Amino acid sequence: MSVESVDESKTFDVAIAGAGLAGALIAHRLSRAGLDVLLIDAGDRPYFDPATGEDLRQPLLDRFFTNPVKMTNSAFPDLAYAPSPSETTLNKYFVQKGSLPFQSTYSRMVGGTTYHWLGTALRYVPNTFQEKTVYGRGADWPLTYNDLEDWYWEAEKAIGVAGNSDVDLGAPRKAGQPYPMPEILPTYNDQKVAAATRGLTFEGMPVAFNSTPQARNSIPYQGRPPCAGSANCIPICPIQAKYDASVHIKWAMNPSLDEGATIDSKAVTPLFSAVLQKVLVDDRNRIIGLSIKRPDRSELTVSARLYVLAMHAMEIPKVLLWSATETLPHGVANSSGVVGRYLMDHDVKITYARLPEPYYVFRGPLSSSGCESLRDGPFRKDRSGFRIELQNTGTSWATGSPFSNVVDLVNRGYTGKKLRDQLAWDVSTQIELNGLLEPEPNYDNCIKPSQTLFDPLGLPRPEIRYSISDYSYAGAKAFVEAAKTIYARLGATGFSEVPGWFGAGHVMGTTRMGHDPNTSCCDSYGRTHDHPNLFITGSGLFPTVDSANPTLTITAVALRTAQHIVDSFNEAPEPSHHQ
Amino acid sequence: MRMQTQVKSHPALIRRLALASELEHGLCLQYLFTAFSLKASLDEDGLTMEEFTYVRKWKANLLLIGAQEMLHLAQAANLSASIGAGLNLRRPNFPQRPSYYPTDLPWGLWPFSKETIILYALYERPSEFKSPRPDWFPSDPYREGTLASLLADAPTTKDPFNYLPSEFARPQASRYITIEELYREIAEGFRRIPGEIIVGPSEAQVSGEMVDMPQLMQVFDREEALNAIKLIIDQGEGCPSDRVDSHFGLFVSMYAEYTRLKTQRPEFEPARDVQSNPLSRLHPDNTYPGWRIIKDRFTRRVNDLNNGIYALMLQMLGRVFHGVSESEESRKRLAGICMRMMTGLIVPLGEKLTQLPMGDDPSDGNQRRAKFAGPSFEMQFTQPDLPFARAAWHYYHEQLIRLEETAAELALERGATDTLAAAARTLHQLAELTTYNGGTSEKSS
Repeated sequence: MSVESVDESKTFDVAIAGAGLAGALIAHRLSRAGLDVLLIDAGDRPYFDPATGEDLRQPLLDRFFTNPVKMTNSAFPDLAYAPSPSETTLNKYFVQKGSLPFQSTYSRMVGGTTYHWLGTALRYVPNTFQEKTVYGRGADWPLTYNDLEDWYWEAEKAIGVAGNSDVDLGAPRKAGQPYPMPEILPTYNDQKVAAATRGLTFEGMPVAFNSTPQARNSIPYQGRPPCAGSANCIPICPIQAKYDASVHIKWAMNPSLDEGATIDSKAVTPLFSAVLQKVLVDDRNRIIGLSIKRPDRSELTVSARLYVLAMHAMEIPKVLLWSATETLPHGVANSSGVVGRYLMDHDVKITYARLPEPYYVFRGPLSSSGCESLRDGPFRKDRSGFRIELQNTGTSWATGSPFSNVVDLVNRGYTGKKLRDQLAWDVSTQIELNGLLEPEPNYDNCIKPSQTLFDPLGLPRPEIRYSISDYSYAGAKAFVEAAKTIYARLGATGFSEVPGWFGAGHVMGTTRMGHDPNTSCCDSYGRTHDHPNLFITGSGLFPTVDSANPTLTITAVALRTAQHIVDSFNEAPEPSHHQ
Repeated sequence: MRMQTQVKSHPALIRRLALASELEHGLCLQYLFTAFSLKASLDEDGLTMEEFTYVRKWKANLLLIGAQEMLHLAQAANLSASIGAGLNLRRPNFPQRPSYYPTDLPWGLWPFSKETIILYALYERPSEFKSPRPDWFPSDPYREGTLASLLADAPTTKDPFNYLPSEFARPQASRYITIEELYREIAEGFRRIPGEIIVGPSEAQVSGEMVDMPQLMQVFDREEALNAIKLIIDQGEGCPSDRVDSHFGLFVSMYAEYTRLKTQRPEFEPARDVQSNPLSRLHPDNTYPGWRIIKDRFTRRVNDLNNGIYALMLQMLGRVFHGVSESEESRKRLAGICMRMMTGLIVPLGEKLTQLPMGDDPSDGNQRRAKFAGPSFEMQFTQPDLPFARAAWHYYHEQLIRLEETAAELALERGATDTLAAAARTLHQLAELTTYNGGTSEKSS
């Protein structure tokens, strides 16, 4: 049901560009409210049957199985007309101009990068929303944790989070708002580390390993099965036990599949194989259309009363800046000059060691517990906080285990039973602790459209300037010390720190929200200060972040935005009333 | 039409909970057997990669539903404990006549098939259909041949009591109620029985942490009892509506996926050629046909080993729930051992049994019979009673060693050697964990 074209003379209620997490959620909520929605995506097709809702991810699985390089994007199409930056093609798309290469990847497909996210669904701690006020760094959000608390719960229900509601992870939960699913049972590895570190402290703070809330089913949910421990969340869950945005896209496209559909529900109109090239603005600063390019280089313009940009946080600023005109020389929604600025990622430090006894990794999801107790505290005045992710896949990220272990042992002359026994020991006694570092928003870290390098459709490639601040370096140093403390408690030896930094795939901050139109590009709902009928959503809105993975916050903010849009239509049905 | 009953007394509530435990226990084993019959590798013929992904999902769902039946059994145990009763872990051997239980449906161990999915959907059917009733869903499983299809591979389907007039009551666990009514009655009992009914020792309640079941609730008042029953109803039995994530919803999806794949490629065979209701031997309660005796000596011995492990696990599980004289740590250790027996022994041996031969069958109609066996989960009529901690732990230890020796001996024979050698190692480790280290109230001498 991929619509090849749409009637250019038609005016939709809302046009949403980007069918990833935020776009799918907003499209679904608006469709339930009976709005006439156009959903645009660069991806060439959905991986489900819109008529029956049946999941059709087999081509993705086949692509992964047959791909010799098993990396984050290896299950997904790299479209000729809309390239996706992957580990091996990063710099065919990114134009790196900074002191450090930007390393995170994403997928341009229907469903977006949710197909290969890890599934971690943490809330940010309250102080993160008021970091400037509390710690004197970064910026305050235009909303507080209290404003978002109920939306966090809605988010947990929307994407299906499994967790233990009794455990304090630093973000309070209201009574009567439990996770919709019980926690995924901790692996043996999780249990051993949690037990061994009980009572351990670091800089006066407890080192507590707990089950990570994760958008991965522990019981059937939304018609999806519980996690079967395929240990393949990245690049793709073979059975869709992990949430991906196709859940909400299919409900939006076909409300008869949606158990929560209302009598008002109206199917969204999909427009796939459609790359947004420019946002068109009239002389009253109203958005009047989206200019789309198709794989055959043909162009069309779609119109709506209200527009939502829900693409990746790297793509939205690129398009806004590329949409500059004579009257808007700095780009659309950019009178503040912050569009494309403050690019952030969770820079990752990887450490590993050798345990004195087997913890039997490579069972369960890639990671099912972590330490959240070192994310927040007065130290954030001076250094970044971090969360520690305990890997269930041994040193897979650090060393390429278990394949590298086989190669290593064979090279050292091991064969037969001796090889098998040593391999079993080496793999079973691995432990890897990764630190996700809180980044400091830095104006000079930025993305803008390249003026000289273009993709196959003739659209500019993202030109990136990226560096890591002293704040994060100080945080990384603390993380390494914490990791050493933990390894010592476990009796682990042979500590190693992988040199350099890794990207977490968490691109954030490039269209920051705020109260002040001079220092932010949109308000707390993502409505741009400059253009009342243009909304932005996704992690680009975040003015600061903590070290928690951003997806649950993207979800909560997007759901809040969706409700705001519905309310706006209810209260002011005519476009002119939005001003 | 069935007669409505009311639970008006404390003893009646205890009896209803005992029946609920028996049903959950039996359903759990049926789902496990069906899951084990599914192919586990592309090396087994008859599957494409896409089909294999579905088969893996069905197996995961069946195991999940089986695990949720275990949760319901544990929940029934806490409900029983709250009113002062223990956990009923007894049940009759498979197969039983459909009328034995109030479900009035075939009761046995069945390999995966279209008919099996239909049967399970019938077990888990809701009292009301929110979405249209599936067109394949039978209103009368007998008239529409589900029972006949399920028993197609049985050597005999002749009921030995057929010659008796109908006024001779057949074996029956309960006379009046369906599963849905059963739980509603239990809830009504907790709601309405006058006087003090929460009289059980609080230490008999098992926490979710003790048995690795996060959703398990402890029951200390009537309201908590009703919440616990609601969880069971929501997840499956007597589900008030046909939610997509209920057991019923899962079987509806499974049916749709199976029929689509089968239509797409008629050669698609997700399950091994597994015999329904295999038995090592007959038992006093095998009063209904549908069984077939395993003739292959090696298979029978592996099945006996698995039966021995299963029986011992039930003994230990009883102590987890009843062992109030044990320390918390001892009960938790015992629960951990039970969990390992399920996942580290019963699952791999059950899987292996569905790949071991039933043995020669020269009887008439043998071409209809299946090639492979499966775990029969047989219960011996005579069971020891072990109320005293020291003797009980000693018994567990000795039994684990005896089972280890059997597994090690079988590992030296043809076939299944890896599984049996691993089972022997696991049994050895578990035996080491069963050294008695004292309870809280019973002095060791």
